[in-house]
Amino acid sequence: MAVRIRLRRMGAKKRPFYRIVVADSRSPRDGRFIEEIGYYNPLTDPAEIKIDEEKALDWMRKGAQPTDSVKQLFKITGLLEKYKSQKTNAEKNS
Amino acid sequence: MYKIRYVKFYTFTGEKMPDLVRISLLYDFYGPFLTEKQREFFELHFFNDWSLSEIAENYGVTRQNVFDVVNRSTALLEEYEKKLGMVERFMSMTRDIERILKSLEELRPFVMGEGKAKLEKIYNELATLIKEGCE
Repeated sequence: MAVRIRLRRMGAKKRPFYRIVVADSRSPRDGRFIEEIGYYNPLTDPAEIKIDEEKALDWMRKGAQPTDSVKQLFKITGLLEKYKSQKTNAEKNS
Repeated sequence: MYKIRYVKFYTFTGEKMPDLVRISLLYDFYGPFLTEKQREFFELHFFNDWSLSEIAENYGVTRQNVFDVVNRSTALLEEYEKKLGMVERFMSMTRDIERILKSLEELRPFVMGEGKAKLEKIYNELATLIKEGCE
């Protein structure tokens, strides 16, 4: 079962707000997801990204694929870089 | 307990990601003009973050078909915005109210007595307006 890390819109009309969630790739759009690992609020200035770093890294190590938009957020926060360096370190040690 | 990394950044729309705020607002204002299928694919793609291929696979249609539907929907919404300009108006109104709220905050320490209650009342009314999306 493929697991993905996606952005999901929440919040009221005209007040867009997005959660970063871990979900089964086939989970329908009824809102079910495995875990929430952060959020992205584009309405504040500057925009606000909150990510539970440990959970995010843990899910990626288990093979969860972030979508392009989530990847973008991970890139901005430096999380993607961290994941890559951890991965190469792990490969070196094995 | 786990650590949460708290990050702020400044240029979002300059990044590769589509301007999600604009897309969301366009949809909130003009979404009802789209057909049911257009809304479904649009929501899946932009609000549930499904890729075009994922949608195609799930609905048993071609990726090209999904691409066309999503693209056409976005173009339609932009077309409505060009004619009606509700998103632009909404955004400038929100900015204006936020500016006034800021001025009121600056004024707050200088207001005494009866004026204070009045100021708070105005402040709260404006804050509610913003919360309700200036309806």
